[in-house]
Amino acid sequence: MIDKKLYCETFSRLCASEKAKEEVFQMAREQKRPVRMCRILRTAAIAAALTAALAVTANAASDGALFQELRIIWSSGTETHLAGTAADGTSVDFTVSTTAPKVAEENGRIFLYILEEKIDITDQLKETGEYHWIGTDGKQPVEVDVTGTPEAWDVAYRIGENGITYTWDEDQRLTATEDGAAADGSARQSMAVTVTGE
Amino acid sequence: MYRTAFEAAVERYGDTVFRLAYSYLKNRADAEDVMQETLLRLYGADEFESPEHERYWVIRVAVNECKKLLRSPWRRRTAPLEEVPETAVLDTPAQTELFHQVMALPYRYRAAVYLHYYEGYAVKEVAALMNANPSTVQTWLMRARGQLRHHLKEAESL
Repeated sequence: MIDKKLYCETFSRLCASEKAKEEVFQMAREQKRPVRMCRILRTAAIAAALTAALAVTANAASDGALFQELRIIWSSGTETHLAGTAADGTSVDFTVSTTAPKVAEENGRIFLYILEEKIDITDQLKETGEYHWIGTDGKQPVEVDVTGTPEAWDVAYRIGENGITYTWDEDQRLTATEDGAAADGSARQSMAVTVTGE
Repeated sequence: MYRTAFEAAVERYGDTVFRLAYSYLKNRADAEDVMQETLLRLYGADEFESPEHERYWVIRVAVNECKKLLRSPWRRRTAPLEEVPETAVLDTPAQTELFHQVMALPYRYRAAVYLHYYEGYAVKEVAALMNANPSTVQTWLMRARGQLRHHLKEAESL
């Protein structure tokens, strides 16, 4: 059992520094927020990164080698041609046939486009800061986590059952994180690839 | 949100969010980043239906920020537990031992334990806050209790 009293006494000693709190006031006064990529670029980045995620999964499934870098040569909307460098230095190029999921704003509402669905996620983002979608592309399970606000959001994407979640950041770097934790409790990150073009 | 209301909110939620974030991330700098980001989001948020709704929203945002940071390749690495004295002033050997053993649990267990035992949320509420199934949270809590019981007994017998 956990000694609740001892636990509460112990963790009550854990406090944020006054400096950190003062910085929040300062940032709020200045309305200083982290610089975010403009919405249009973010949408493009989501499409690019998520398409790449599909490609990475396909590659990992086929021979176990993970890409060090991916470059999108062309995209027709339903087909994307990619070139990449595998971990062993081998150059690979291939075409992914899928409709890349994306998150975009339309008339002040935020929509998640995933496979054949268009879902208005504005209210849930505003309410809870998170939208979770689970479905299937007909062959394997697909999950999308959108977190943030209607003004600035992040997307994590998972396909298949290999226990790897793909996330992208504002520099269009794609990271794969394995489920479960390392011995110290931290997340295991298996690789990061850069999407250098669209 | 007005400045005075925001200042009150920082006092009300600052340490709560910090403790939750520290439970997830085991790192003061990352936990303070999460605290700041969460409170800045609160600053820009619309009005809430009730104080409970506001508190729930703040914790949900903090959980999401922690998860986001855990997935980030740039997060600071976990601080060694030797740095704990700088993080929390612990009075007794029992507190120090408990702190070390809790921090040795997987991060999901640590967060669930904090929300359940410190913040007083029921299992169903913890599950909603962490976007997990109630049965999964129940399992995390059960395993956390088991691991703590085992390790604290071991420490006592030394």
